[in-house]
Amino acid sequence: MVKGSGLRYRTYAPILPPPRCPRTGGTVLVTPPMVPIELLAGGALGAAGLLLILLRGGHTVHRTGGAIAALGGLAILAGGAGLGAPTAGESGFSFPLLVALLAGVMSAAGAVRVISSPRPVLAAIFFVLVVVAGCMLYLTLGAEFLAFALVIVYAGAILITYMFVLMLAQQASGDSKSGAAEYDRNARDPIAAVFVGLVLFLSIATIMWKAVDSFDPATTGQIQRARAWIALGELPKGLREAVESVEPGATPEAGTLHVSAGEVSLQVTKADGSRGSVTLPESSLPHNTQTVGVALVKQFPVSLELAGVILLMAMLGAVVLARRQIEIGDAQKAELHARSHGGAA
Amino acid sequence: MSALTADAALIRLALVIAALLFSIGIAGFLSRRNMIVMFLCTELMFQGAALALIAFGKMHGDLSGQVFTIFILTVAAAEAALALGLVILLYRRRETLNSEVWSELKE
Repeated sequence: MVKGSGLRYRTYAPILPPPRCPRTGGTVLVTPPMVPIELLAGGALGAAGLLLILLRGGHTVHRTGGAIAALGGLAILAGGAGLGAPTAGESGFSFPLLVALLAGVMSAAGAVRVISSPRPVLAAIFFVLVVVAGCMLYLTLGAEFLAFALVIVYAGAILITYMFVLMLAQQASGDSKSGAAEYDRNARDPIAAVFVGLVLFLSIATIMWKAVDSFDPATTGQIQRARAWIALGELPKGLREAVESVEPGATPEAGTLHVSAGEVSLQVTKADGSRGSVTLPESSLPHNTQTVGVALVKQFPVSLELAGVILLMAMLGAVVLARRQIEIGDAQKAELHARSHGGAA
Repeated sequence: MSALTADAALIRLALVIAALLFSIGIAGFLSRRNMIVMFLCTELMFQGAALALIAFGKMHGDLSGQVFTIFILTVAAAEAALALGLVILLYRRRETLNSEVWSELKE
């Protein structure tokens, strides 16, 4: 627990007894990992429901499983949103939180449908729902550029590729009643799969849950603003426009951007040739796309090149893999052999 | 007893959803037998990882999380292209998408 973070959660269900100090017998200061009660209860309910869905025991079992899983998922999401916890600030329940809750319900339900739908095409379409819900979450987290990039790349490109392959490889199913193949209708080892998923969820979510305890919104907001202003210094055109909006005709001097807690100023050469300092207005703070672009190009130039190489390699690999191999019979082989020898003679 | 701010609640919610997506993805990868849907489940796990990166980026006021998500997008696209090429290849050999016809490979 970081001092001054102002975050401590009420209800923790210990899964291990607190460790004892070997020498004195007292409780040691390092606390064991505790699973928050919302995650434990919600995860168990959700796993039970998911298991019932995957077992495909019939219509009623399926419905019951869905209801139980929905209940568990809601418990997890409500716990994550801190609905049972006291909230600080003037408005505890904000509009972004409402949007994020809706997106969470959408993505969890979509993900369950992806893994439980007997038709692969439906699974792909529900994956689009998960992607769209993810974009809503990205928007609430202030990642506008990625939200739209994700829709374009995932829903627009990757999912279409999946659809193409599904159509190429979809076979006439033996069972015409449900329209799905046998291996799509019956899950393989659903109990083991759900158990692995539950354990993984509890461990990841517990660690992440505790990680938020060290979050300090005020300091983080200041850091984020300062980083955005520094990114403006890397954008010549943006800097010129920002200066132009305050002092028409002035040109900024390179490398003179000064970011302090209160205000942002830089040296300029004014229209009449004299030098001076201007204070930039709040409206010229760079937006998400600009700052992400600067971070991408300035901090990770080599990774950017490598990403291009990965794409090129994947393209070549896909072409090599998917190339149709021609089967040649013995007669054709002999004919080809004779032809090549005839050509040589 | 201290309280949760709206931003902290938002980030915690996003992280819990990320963990949920990742674990549902792995449960699906283990339980489905259709090769295409198995790869769709790995995409689900990619989604969880990307969401966690963005939420942690927001928590630390750092853009590296978003930049890393762009790289995840690249790797996911490359993975989809290669995996689907592989699926088509395997489909041509056995005329089925059932992954269990390849279980002899484990011996």
